[in-house]
Order: sequence, then structure tokens, then C-alpha cells
Amino acid sequence: MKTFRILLLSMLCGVLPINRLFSQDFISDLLRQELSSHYNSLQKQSTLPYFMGFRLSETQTYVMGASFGSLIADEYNRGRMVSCETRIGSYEFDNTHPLNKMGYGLSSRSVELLPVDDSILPITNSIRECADAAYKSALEEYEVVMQAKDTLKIKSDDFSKQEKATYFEPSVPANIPAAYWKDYLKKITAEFNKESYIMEARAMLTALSNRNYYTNTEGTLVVQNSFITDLSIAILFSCEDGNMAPYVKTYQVRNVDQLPTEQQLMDDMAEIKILIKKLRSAPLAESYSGPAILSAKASGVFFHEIFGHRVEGHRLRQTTDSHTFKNQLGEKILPDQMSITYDPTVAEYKGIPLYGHYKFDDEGVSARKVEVVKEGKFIQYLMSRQPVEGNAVSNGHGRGELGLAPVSRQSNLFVSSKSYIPEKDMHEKLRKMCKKQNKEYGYLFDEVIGGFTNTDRISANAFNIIPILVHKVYTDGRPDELVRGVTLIGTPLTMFSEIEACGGQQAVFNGYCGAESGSVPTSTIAPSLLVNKIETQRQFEIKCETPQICSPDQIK
Amino acid sequence: MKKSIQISAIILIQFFFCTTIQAQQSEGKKDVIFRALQDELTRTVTELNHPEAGKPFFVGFYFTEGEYRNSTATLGAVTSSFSRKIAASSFRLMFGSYEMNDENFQETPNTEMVFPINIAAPIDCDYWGIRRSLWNQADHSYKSASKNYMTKKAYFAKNPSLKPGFPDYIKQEPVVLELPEKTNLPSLSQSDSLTRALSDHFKEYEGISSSHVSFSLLNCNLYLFNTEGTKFRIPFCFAAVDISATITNGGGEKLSESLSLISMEPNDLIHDNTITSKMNSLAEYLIAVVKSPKLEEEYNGPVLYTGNTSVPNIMEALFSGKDELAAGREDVANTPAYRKTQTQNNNNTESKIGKRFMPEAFSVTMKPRLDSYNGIKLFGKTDVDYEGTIPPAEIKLVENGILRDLIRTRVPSSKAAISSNGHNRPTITQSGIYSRLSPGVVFFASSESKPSDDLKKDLIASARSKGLDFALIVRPVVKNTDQSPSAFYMVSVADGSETLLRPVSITSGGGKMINHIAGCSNKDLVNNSMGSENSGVNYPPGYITGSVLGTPTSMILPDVILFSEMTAEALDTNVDKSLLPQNDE
Repeated sequence: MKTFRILLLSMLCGVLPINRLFSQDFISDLLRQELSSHYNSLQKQSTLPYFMGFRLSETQTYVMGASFGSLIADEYNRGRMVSCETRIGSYEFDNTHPLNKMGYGLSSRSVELLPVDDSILPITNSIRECADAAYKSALEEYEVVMQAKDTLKIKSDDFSKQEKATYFEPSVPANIPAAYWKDYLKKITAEFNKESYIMEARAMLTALSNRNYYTNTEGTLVVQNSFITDLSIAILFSCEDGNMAPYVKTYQVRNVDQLPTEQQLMDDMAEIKILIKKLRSAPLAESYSGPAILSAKASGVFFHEIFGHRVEGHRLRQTTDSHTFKNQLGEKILPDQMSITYDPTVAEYKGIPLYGHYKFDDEGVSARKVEVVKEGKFIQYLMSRQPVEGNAVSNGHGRGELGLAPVSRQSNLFVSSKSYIPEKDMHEKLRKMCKKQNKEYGYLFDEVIGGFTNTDRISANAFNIIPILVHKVYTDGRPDELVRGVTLIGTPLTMFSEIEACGGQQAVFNGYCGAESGSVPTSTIAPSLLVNKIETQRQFEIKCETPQICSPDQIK
Repeated sequence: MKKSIQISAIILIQFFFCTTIQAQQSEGKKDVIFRALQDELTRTVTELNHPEAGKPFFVGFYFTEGEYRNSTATLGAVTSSFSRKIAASSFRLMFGSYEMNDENFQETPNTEMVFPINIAAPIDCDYWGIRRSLWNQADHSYKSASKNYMTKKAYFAKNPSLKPGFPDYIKQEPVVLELPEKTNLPSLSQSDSLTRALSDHFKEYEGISSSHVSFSLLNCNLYLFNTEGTKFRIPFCFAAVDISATITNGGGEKLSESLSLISMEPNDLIHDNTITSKMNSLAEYLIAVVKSPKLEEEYNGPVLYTGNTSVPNIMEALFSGKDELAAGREDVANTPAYRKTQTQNNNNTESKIGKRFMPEAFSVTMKPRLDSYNGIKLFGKTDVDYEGTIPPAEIKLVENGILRDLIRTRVPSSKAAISSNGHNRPTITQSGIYSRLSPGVVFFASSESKPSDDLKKDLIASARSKGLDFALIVRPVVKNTDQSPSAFYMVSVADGSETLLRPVSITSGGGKMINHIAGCSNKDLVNNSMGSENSGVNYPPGYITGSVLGTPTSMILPDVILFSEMTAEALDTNVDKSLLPQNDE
């Protein structure tokens, strides 16, 4: 598992003239030089590439961890990698053309580990090896697609043309977490030492700094930084019925200095302890179908899964994909009052950093706000440079891990509504809906840790959202009851039609989204939702081993 | 295609194997670790009490702490450099008695859905953290060990005839041993400098298309405290320089070779000024071999191995397969499926003790406590093994071809041999130091030895007698190096001239490898190695890699060995036509 993490001192770009700035960055100079040199050298070949591009990433990662008051990780790593993309043929038809119904073409990416020392010869050598490998792969792929050309079903172009872009951020030194964080992590986790039902209490602080370079033969050169720091506290505990349950709390910032103070953290730990005590004795929820409230964070994950993955444009090239919204451009797919936009240009929301922020995507296309649903009507797909029927232009959402072909992926997802119900009224609305449906209770999905979905036609086109805090809201006005062991499930179109109203409070959910182009950081900013009907299923139960003798911490 | 958005805290669950130590004052650290081991041991044997199985009669707690450093460079530039503290705890816990315990018995697997949590060992050696990780492990195993013991007891009550007539575990007098830990080791910046300088050396060879040099250093200590009163601290310090280079010829054919230099004295390795000349040998070999002919047809005939090239053959012949010189205990099989598997895998060497095992000329002797031989320090030296057994100074395994004994642990394999000879040996793995039944210092000798030159004559004569035009000689590419690649030469039967060949693969022509030995030289060779723990495995960055993993082993054997009947065939090479400009363009 890769654990590249970072830190940042500042996200602000300099205002020096671009050319002058580039000339101060030897890696960008080298990349441009090598690109030109390779492209020219290939002109001697009988089969020429029409496009070449390099992605290079410099990473610094600092990971600290503690468990039950003991330090278990303290590592710093830095690395530099390059990837090369070579396309042979033309924008209309090239070596990446899909050969199968899955819509996937052959990969023409190659990856090389580069020296971290700023030493020109070995870096140049590795870049050349990478370019060499990419060209050879592309050549082989091109032969394959040319042989199959007449039988291929997908008629869309393979690559969209793009204006050249130039952007440069000066290098910013990584901010390594101070040594005192080790003590903080130990203190935080030691808070859980005395409770025999806590089976693991682990805190991990990961600071990840990336400096990303992109250049291509169309003249684009982009150099940008990204910084993510997250502190995660994961608790595993045994419930009174012998099942094991998790609770996770995360703090996501850009700079380690933005993390909560020690006192704030200790206060939060005290709250978590109280919550875990309640969760231990909370009853297991039964399978259910009926009204529910999704908190703003849960609603964010809900939209990411049931909506977001279905507006990723490249899926239209996959004949095995369910094409949920195909032929629905301009049609109503959500309630009239709702709009959805993706905007990677927004760096933060109410002081909270957004993981889905970037200035240029991984194909060197400038980030921009994309209105996907306006007042309930579907407007457009998220697009990379991979054209689909009726949509040939990227809107800055080509994303992927270095070494994997970028495809259209989500960024910062904003859900908005023209009308909101005040949060305080959401409960009452839910009760009314329950009463109408003759239900004893509805559900409030308060906190979630993630989810997943299928968009293909082979398996059930469903989604799962995994909550960690769920309450029963009783129709008769009894106090809410904390329950556990339940997963929110459903199918997309039904769920869209069941959205009744949005709450007045928006919240941010930051996370990492995994799909065919790898893991990319994304964010959702969404209001809470009142849904007419949801469905739940019981979670898989894992029994805890009851210790025969107590932990040594309990005899201190 | 599944997609997921998950908060990164989930990733935390993956971190269960994080490891290492904070450098406290050396003595303070040792005292803390021993106290933690002892205190938790006392609590475990006092408080763990199964209603039917009773208390465990044996508990041993282990703790490994130390540091791993790695620096890798290419063409004078560092590509990766990191230092990682390591820490790991492990244990052995047995119910019953020495006569019959829960081990050596295979029962039906537990199908209950239970998820044991592994509490990571602390990298800062804190007392409570060590105790917590030991408690966590022992407590988890308590349930399965006590259950296994009760099942085994019931099984033998029902099937008394199947009960072995010898104990499950051998009692032993306590051993107290604290060996000094290694200090004053090279820093990460020193290893960066070394790899930069060494990797830069390949710039002198234009034909080398890619190359890497890495320096790995593992310095750790293994601590044990058990209920017999055994208490030890054994240091493990190994450093390795791994060098790899690839050459590409005009036809795009790529040939790669690697060379490893391993030492128990990291500072010696850092300051070893013979490394560049060894790199020269590697580079010159590659330049020569890429132009050399291929073995065109399968070869069946004699092969002469010189230097360390015969070590893998001899080690494999002695310590692997059904005829290995190791006393493996067969588990009592409680399930038909397991009984079938067991029958297929049984080691049958024990029954051959006292009988002819190999040709009369050969003897195999273990000298586990030997520190050095011909001035060379031996990796395989064992002061005390993983179970706290101090091995004897010498064990004759094979004497003039007759099998006399096997390497053993405290788990006896027969009525005839119910004592350990200290070969439950520590093995350095990715996640800590564990153990396996393995050799330490092996002497393989022949009473019918002769000068090396005579063996070459024998090789040619043997080939001639088989009607062959040529024979094969295998030589180390780099002399005086334990882990050198092999170079293969075709020797003309007509005039004795040698021609370097492209790499070939050689296997025995069937039957026991030892039986194919046709002659040995009268000169000894010392070979140190780390076993095969790291072979062929690609680990992600940050993990312990390189040649410091494995079971430290030494072998003293004739420096030239002639095998009578072997099969050789050319290895395929990777053809990769480079289309882009080289460095000098």
C-alpha cells in the first residue's frame, strides 16, 4: 500500500514571470528538454507518435503512529517517479482505442523510479528509459488495434485536442510534523488503555507533500503542489453482545499546524469514550425499509456513490456499464430544487480544506467548475480527454495515479438546493413520513466511514454506504435510540426519486476514491437529506475474542 | 467495477505490522525489555488457567528490537534512502506437559468467525507497550492451544496405539546469556555516500544500460525469557551491498546479473576498497557474456563447479527434500485429508540412521559453535539457539557415508533421539526474528580429494568417455565473494580451451545430487550466506529487503567439485530493442 502523505507551508503561488520561474526549476527544464529530445529522435522511426506527455511526481511522506500510548511508527520517506504517455495514430484513432466491451484500451503508460538526488545524468537516463518503454508499448498496442480496427465497436475519438496550458507554482518546503506530535499521539491513544473492551486504539498522523509536473508535446507545462495531512484515530471495541465494532475519527487539514490543539484532541477523546460506551450497549438494527435522514456527511458519500460515479463520462465508452444517465441530457433526474456541481478550483469550504482541489488535472487541463445537474436537470458529464459520444472536450476532470491512464473522476462535489428545511425540523418531518408509511421508526444516519458502488450491468447496480453512527427516530416521539450493525443499501434511480428534501446544514466529507485510474482524493459538500424510503441490511458480524486475563494496562 | 470513497482512517487497520525502537541508553533499554518479558511471563503463568487444560506448563516470550537502514543509488544518485526502527514480539505457549502437550497434532481447523487484533510492538521499547503486545499474542493463542490440547488428549484416549512413545518437548536446563549488542554503526548518510560512490562507478562502462547499488544494514537484538529460566539477548548485525547491472547488446538483448557482499561488520563493508574491483569483474563479465555464444543444445554430461558455485547444489542435497539431514517431527493427523498430505510430505531420513546414506567418501559434520575458519568469521555460529539450547561443539551427521545423526530441535522426532542439538535457528524475516530447523556451520568433506587441476583433467576425460566434444565448467564471476553470480564455460575435449557461454540452467540428471559427485578438490572453501528467505520476492518500499534477510548459514566444502552427470540448457534472454538515444547522444 502506498502511503504518500504530505505537508505544506503555503498553497500560494508566486507572481514571478512564468518563464523565469520555470528556469529556476531544474526538473521542469529537464522534462521539457527530454520531451523535445525524445519526440525529435522518434521522427526517424517509421511509426511516429502524434502525442507524448510526461508526469513526474516528487513526494515526501511522514508517518507517525501510536497504539495504546506506545509509539509504533515514525517514518519519513521521499521519492521521485516519472510516467510517460505515448500515443500513436491520431486523435481520432490511436493505440489506446478500446478493444473490448469494458471500454478499456491498452495501457501506454510506463513508470520509472527516479533518483531523489538532483543529479542530471541518472535522472535523464531514467526518464529516457521510461519514454523508451512507453513508445515500445504504444507501438505494440497500435499494431494490435490496427489489426482489429474493422471489428471495433466504439466509434468515438480516442483523445480530445487541447489548448496548451502553462502554470507554475514555486516549490514549497514540506512541513515535517514536529516531534511533539509523537507525544500527542501517545497521549491520545493512552486515553483508551483502561477500558477492557477497547481492543485497539490507534492514532496515525500522515503528512503528504506532492510536487507534480506535467508536460506534453502540445506545449503544456504545469507544475503544482499538493499537501494533505490527516490525523486518524481508529478504535476497535467489543460490544456487550460480543461483536466487534469500529469507531473512526479523522482530522483533515493541509498543514500539520492546522490540526487541533492537544487540549481539543483530549476533549474529543473524552467524547469518543462516552460515545463508545453508548455504542457498546446499542442494539443491533434489523433490516429496514422506510424513511430516513442522511446527515450532511452521509449525504455526501451517498451522492458520491449513487450519483457521482454515474456521471463520469468515460463510462459511456464501456458497453458493460449501466449508462444510468445515457440519453438523459436535459432530462430531469433529481428533484427540481437540487443542483450538483463539481468544482476542483475551490480549495476550502468554511475553513475546511477540500481534498478534491487542484488547479490542473492529471492531463494538464485547467480545473474548472462543472455544472452537472441544474435544478434537477442533467446538464453534462465529467470529462477527461477521452471523448464520448456527443462530448468531445475535457472539462478538467482527467485524474489518476501516476502510471495509470487518467479517466474522468470526481473532484469537489457540491450539492445544493433552492429550498432547505431547517435542521431542527428534519426530525419532525421524518416522524410525519414514518407515520404516513405506518412505520414505528425511521433512521438517522449520522456518521459514515465510506461506501462503494457498482456501475456495470454484470452485477447488481447497487450502492452500499457504511455508517458508524445510526439512530432510530421513533414516530411516537420517544428519544432517539443509538443502534449499530447496519448498512445503507439501494439502487440509484429509485433513491433519486425518493429524495424528499434537503436540510439547511452543509458538511464536508473528504476521502480517497478508488477506481480504475487508482486512488484520488475527493471531497463532497452536501446538505443533509430527508429520504422517503431507504433500505438497510445487517452488517457482517465479527465476534471478539474475550481476553482470558486483562490487559497489563489495567493493572498499572 | 467497484469504487469507494473512504476516510483514510480505514487505512490505519493496515498498519498492524509497524515496528521499531527508540534509542534509550543501551543498558536501560535491555533492563526494560527483560523486566517487561519477565513480568508479563509471571502474570501469564499465574493467571492463565483453563478449567480443563489447566495452566500452561511452558511459556517463552520473545522480543526483537532494532533498526533497518537502506540506501539505493544509480549512476551516482540516491533513489531511495530510509531508516526504519523495527520491533516485534512473539511467544511459545504450551499446555499439558513435556511428555504430551498441544503441539505435534493436527486438528480440524477452527471455523468460528473471530478476528484477532494484533497489537503492534512499540518501537520506543516502552515497558507497558512490550507487555501489552506479548499479552495480546499469548492471550489469543491460549484458547486454541488449550482446545488443541484437550482434543489431542481425547484423541489418544480413544486411539492409545497411535500415541508416540516419546515426548512432545524436551526439558532443558536454563541458560542465561547476554551477548553485547553492536554499536558505532555507519550512519544513513554514510551509506548514502557509499552507494552514490559505488553506483557512480558504472558510468565508466558505456555498455551497462542500467545498474543499481544498495546498502542495507540490519542491527537488532533478540530477547527471550521463558518459564524454564532461560534468558538471553542475542545481537544480529548484518550489512549487505547488493549490486546489479544490466547490459544490452546491439540486438536489444538484455542480460542482468547481481552480486551481494554480506558482512557481520558493517564498518568493514563501508570501508571495503575491494568493492569497485568486484564491480569491475561484474561489468567485464557482462560485457564479455553478451557477446558470447549460447549453448545450442541440451547438454548431458559432467560439470565442474569451482569456488562457491557448488554451494546451492550441496545445500539442497543435504538440507531439503525427503532426504534432508534434519529431524522433522510428524504431526499426529486427526483428519483424513491431513493424513494424506502428511504421507506425501514425510521426511524419511530418521529411519536411515546407522545405514549407508551417501557414497563412502563423504562426511558431513556440524560445528555450530565455531566462530571462524581460516580467519573468516562464520555467519552460522550459534551460541544458543532460538529455544535456548547451547549446541555441542561438533555433531557428526554423516561419517564415511553412514548416516549418524540429524540436526534437531527440542521437539524429538523419534524414540532414538530425544535431545536437541541446538538447530532451532533464528531466521531474520520481514516482520521480526523467528526460527526454523536449519543448519548453522556445515562441513562437507570428501576423503578422496585431489588437486583442482586434476579434476579438470577428470572432467575432460569423463566427457571424452561419453563421446562429448566439450564439457562444462562453472566459475564464480567475482572471486572471493560469497554471493557471486556464476559464469559458464564450455571446455573443449580436444584441447582444454575454455569458451564463455551465455547463462545456462543446470540440474542434476536424476537421483540424489550427492551421488553425482565424481570428485572433490583438496582445498577448502568457506561460504557464508543468508539462506533463501529473500529470494524472488519483491517487497514494497520501506520494508526490510536485500540480502540481510534469511537464516545465517556457513558451509565449508571443497573449493572444486566435479559432478558426473548433469543436464544443462541455455536460459532465455530478454530481447528489448532500445529505440531512443543513449547517454552520450
